[in-house]
Amino acid sequence: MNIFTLPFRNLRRKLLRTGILVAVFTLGILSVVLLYNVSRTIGHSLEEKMTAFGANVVIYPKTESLKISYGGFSMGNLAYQVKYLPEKETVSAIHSIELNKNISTVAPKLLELIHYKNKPVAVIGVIFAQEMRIKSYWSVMGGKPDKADGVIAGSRAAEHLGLKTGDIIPIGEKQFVVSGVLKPTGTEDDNSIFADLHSLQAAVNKPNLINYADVAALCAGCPIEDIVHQISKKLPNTEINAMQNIVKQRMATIQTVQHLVLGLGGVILLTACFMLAMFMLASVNERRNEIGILRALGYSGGKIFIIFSFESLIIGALSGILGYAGGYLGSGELLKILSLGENAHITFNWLHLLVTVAAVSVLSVCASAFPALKAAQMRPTDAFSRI
Amino acid sequence: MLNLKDIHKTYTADGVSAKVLKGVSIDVSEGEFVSIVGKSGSGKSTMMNIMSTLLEPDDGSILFKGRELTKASSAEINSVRRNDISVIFQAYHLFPYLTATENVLLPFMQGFAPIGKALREEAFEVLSRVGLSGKENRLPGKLSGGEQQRVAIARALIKKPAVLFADEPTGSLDSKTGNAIIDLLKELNATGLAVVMVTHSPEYAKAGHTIVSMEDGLVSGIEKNAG
Ligand SMILES: Nc1ncnc2c1ncn2[C@@H]1O[C@H](COP(=O)(O)OP(=O)(O)OP(=O)(O)O)[C@@H](O)[C@H]1O
Ligand SMILES: [Mg+2]
Repeated sequence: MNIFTLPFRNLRRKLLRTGILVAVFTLGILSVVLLYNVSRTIGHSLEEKMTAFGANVVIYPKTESLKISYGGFSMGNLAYQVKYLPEKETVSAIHSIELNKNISTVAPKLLELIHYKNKPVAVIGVIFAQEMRIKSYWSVMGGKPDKADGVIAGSRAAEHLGLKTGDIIPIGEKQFVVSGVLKPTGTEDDNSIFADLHSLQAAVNKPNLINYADVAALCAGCPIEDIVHQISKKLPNTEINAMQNIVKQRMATIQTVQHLVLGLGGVILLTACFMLAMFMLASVNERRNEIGILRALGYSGGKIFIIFSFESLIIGALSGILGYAGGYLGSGELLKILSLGENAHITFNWLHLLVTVAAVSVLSVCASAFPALKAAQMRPTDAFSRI
Repeated sequence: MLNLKDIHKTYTADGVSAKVLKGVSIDVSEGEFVSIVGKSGSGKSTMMNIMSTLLEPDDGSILFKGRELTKASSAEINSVRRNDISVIFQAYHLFPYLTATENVLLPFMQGFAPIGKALREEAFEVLSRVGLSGKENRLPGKLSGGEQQRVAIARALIKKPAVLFADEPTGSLDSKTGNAIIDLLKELNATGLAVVMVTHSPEYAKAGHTIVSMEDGLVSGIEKNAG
């Protein structure tokens, strides 16, 4: 037995009260942990979905000559000497950075100027599977190319050149077949023809060469600057252009969702604090007599404060443990129900648990500070209603 | 040992002030038994609370073992309450959810160090001294009024105080049980413990070496008991 005996006895004696307080606090913490975990994961998958609206990093060779632009990419003047990047090495270098978990898609491209019916047109060699991931707005009339020699024509290119499904386009030494036409996208894609990268490389005899690569990076866990920095270390002879505005917009949307969710958890916690303060105040008034006895026995005001605060501390610590564990288990379950489980990166973190318990303990002690102070300031004769 | 001089106290409640003590002086020597008698409302409990440091006087001096308590810090007052004096009341003021032994050990539950075996054994011993052997682990609700007052006395004794203050300790008890408590107080006094007791019973008051009569906030008489 020591100074903590009294608070422990009171917690045990008033099991219902203790239970209610722990339950409300646990609920508050649980919702913060749960909503935070879920919103992080949902934010992650939300970002992955938003990635469909385009790449946010472009990697291209260093160049000093005049520029012709395509899709925000500056390639060397096609008429003069064009610099290339090696496809396989570039792609594998991007995938080998430390933050490679954040690399969602790498879409390498080779640009070729050809003449069809004496009209110039740009042919873009792409890996269709990758390209479709960053261009979910593509809608193909006809069919997507299922063979290596299939191409897709942009809407304006098709109109201008009179192309339709089944037409044959000779490129270099090979014949390509139009498998479909893109619906207008409102981008420069409308003016171009898209062919399979490797077929185009073979046709124009530029094996393993690309002009540039679009990269879609997920920025939920890190700033885009880190990703750019890591890529540039792996690929020293390239220029890397991060489209900050796109990234920032995406992050802002996700952060709004997270702030909303944390705000809600905060309100629940605030309610819990208020309840604790009310219960404690009632407890202090109900135990005036006890306080009087303790004061008469020489307990200092500080000791009385400790006795009451310790009760709150235990409630807070207990709720912290239960709330964190509950939030951790609950978010896993919830994500399973929302079938977002595949993307979940929820890990049990001892440090987080410790920080949560400490924070909630401090919070609960603060919440009960006023009643505890009131108890500490009671004089023995105030405490005995009438002697 | 304890000398109160010219104590004044005025209560103010709801804007009305009442002069309850108008210059009371009482002395208690080492090992003395002092009884305080007087009509209801004469200020006995108020005086008792001031003597036992539970209440501060508006004016006057309290000298305890040469120390002026009206000028003492709250830490010093707490130390006096912890070590030198004990109080018991008409309403026994036990913790209903602590056993007899735990109630007796309350004065030692102020620290972070757990209470050791020696102190527990001492609590048992004090309980047997007040006649409660075999009832050490009962809750107050399972004890009679007289037994509860004995637990309160045991709690007062365990710190080996110099003075025991008792405000109508028999007030809630029948005469037979009351007599036994008075006998117990006399017994304890015989071992050297000074006792200050407020009582309505002239019979019980005779237990004191000195009988102080109070009337309307003043001492109206001091009688030395020859016995
Ligand atoms: N806390 C208080 N506030 C205001 N007035 C009080 C307070 N305590 C006591 N009084 C008043 O002071 C006067 C003296 O009270 P006190 O309790 O000292 O009398 P007493 O002699 O002990 O009476 P009793 O024999 O009934 O116990 C009474 O008139 C009482 O109403
Ligand atoms: Mg009284």
